[in-house]
Amino acid sequence: MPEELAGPSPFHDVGRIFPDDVDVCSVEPSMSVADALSLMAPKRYSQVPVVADGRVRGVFSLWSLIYQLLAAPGLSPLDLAVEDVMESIPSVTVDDPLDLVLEHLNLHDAVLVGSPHGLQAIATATDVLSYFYRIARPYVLLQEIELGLRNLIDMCVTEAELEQCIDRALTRQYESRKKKPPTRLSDMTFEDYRSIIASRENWEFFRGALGQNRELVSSKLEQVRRIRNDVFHFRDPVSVIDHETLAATRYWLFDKARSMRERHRREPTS
Amino acid sequence: MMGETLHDELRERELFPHQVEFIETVLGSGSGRRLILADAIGLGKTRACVALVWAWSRLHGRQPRTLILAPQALLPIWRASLANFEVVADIVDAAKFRHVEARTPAGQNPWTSLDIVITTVDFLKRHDRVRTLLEVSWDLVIVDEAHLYTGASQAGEVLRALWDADEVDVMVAASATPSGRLDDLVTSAGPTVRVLRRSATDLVDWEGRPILGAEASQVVEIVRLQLTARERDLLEVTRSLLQRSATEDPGRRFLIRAYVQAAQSSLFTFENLLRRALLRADRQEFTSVVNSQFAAPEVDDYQDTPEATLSSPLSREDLLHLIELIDLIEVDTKWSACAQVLQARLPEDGGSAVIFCDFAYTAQYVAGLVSKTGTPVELLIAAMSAEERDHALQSFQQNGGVLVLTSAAAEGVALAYVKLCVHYDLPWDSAVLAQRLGRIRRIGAGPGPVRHVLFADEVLLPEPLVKMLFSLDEDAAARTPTEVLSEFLGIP
Repeated sequence: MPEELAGPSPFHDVGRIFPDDVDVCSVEPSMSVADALSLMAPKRYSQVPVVADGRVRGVFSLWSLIYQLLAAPGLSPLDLAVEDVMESIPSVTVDDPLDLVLEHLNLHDAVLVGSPHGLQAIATATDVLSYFYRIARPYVLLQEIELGLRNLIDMCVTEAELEQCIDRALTRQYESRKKKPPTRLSDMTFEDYRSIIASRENWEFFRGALGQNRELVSSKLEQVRRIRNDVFHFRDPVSVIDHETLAATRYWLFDKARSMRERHRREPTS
Repeated sequence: MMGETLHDELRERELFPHQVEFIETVLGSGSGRRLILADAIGLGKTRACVALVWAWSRLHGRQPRTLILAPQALLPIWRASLANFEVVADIVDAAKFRHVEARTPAGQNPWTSLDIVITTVDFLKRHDRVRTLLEVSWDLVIVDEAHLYTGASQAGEVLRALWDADEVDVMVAASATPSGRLDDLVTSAGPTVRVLRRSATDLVDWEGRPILGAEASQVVEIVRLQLTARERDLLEVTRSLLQRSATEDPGRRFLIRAYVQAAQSSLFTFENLLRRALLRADRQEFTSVVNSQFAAPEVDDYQDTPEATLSSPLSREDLLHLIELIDLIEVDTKWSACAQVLQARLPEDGGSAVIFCDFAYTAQYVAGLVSKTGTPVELLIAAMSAEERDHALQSFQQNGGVLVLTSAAAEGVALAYVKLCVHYDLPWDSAVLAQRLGRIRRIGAGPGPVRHVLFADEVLLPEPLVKMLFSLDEDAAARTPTEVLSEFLGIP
């Protein structure tokens, strides 16, 4: 089946590390080490590919320079050309599995990503880390938001009030599914937290902590619910705007919880 | 030349006479032809171009090697439209192209591995890609919204290189608003250029009836919001803070405009924008991820720079103060007014309404609020996948109710059957507004006027500004959005 009909591949390949255009910085074999270092320093690169006639000849790296200096301590690096100190590093293609890059990065600082048409990118541990960060971050934020909501409800209501909140917001929902509503916060789902907070009858307990506009808060949590569904059902990749929504919601909850704690400290009886 | 059978098949596929005329013009023109399709918005240019690809295949017995260039947000629409004509196309971006390169043997141009390509001009202008692209021949090149790629810019150079290339057999530059911006293509010294520019009022369907229907009139209603004291506080403080930080620096001006637009759009979008700005002020880790998407409106015509996103015109204290003011607001007057409009008008305006927003956040907020009223609601934002879009549009068409959509998501969508159109906010770019209106006022529109509902308040969205943005104020036509903002906020 053509790729277009089957959808994008579900497997992590090397190509995933680079979703956008990549500008590969390279040097020629005859370039002096001093010039190459001047090129690398502002961008804090620790290696650059050495390319001649469109073909990769090797890689000039800080480690390759160190090995050369250790082998011949009398040499001045300024007297060398990059071809005198370059080393070879492994090469992969965008179609290779991501594991292969991880294996290579155990032994090397970088891996070349090539094609029959030339060098496409150079993958470092930072690129791989950024990739995993992009994938993992929404899960971490969702965990913080969910636990943050649990924490906030706990701070806003007493045990008796929680019972009241559950009765108003969850009992009917659960009974329609022939189930008993959860009684402990730790047994509840995100949807339960949202229903409790956004319920008109319960709002009196939460307006002090979350602001006066219930609809605004409800919409905020509704957005998180939508993103959460997409994330946990592995639908589309999380868009930048959704990622930022999660982050902003996480900090919103964090701020609200902090303000509440401060208020409790100032007015312990309130 | 196109035979009668093909002509009939196009008619069976529900193309209008002017769309078939366009296809006949292209296919009958011999090789090396250039055509500017400058029909007014709403006359189905995309569909005509898609049918052209299909008709070319039928005529020649093979698929044409085709390159389609369109704005990023429209790429899935093009692919879906082509799929409706059984044409399979590849959306090509940097990641996809790297895979194509990896799978194409050395010595063979990677572009030969792709038959029907949909991509952006931005993609072609980088890394000298247009040079390798033009090392192979193309039967058809179609450029959507071609007016975006003119002049001495890199994008303009890409358009010109394709226009002048011998490797391109037929090229169509489509734009409803070419007004002078495609002149250099028309006066090209190269191949003969034809321009097709038809207005809706001149065109008829196969039975000779006007294609926009006999009554394509519109009614505009401005709802004057009576803001609560809390809302007035918020907007007054916002205005004074922005006036205080007014500057001629383009980066800051851009941000001030973003704040004003967000505050005009919805409480929810404004709160989100402030929180995101606060996030950036506190957590630098996000700045690198979000630079390119700072502007919350999904459509914007102004330049965003990484520097601009990092220097908010409001301090951390200002941001916190505004957020506190929002927290005090109990009632969202604009939404309440919108809910009343829907309640009163929806039944009498055919049971279907669209609510246009410029911001995805506002669209999500409003869709959530509409759903709580019990009215069926669908949401359409640019971030949705092609499948989600199709599902939303089909449900809305079948079930009626409310479709909440952003200007960006609206591009390419046909909503000719809708008679109630609520503009929850207004775009500050007249071209975006024209695109919005073109979704409704287009071929296939049923009888009866379209009602447009706009909102105005006395602080940040005064009625004269609303009229100016909705092009009801004729004097405003010559002004740019930046001039509007400058005058409004008193920025020199």
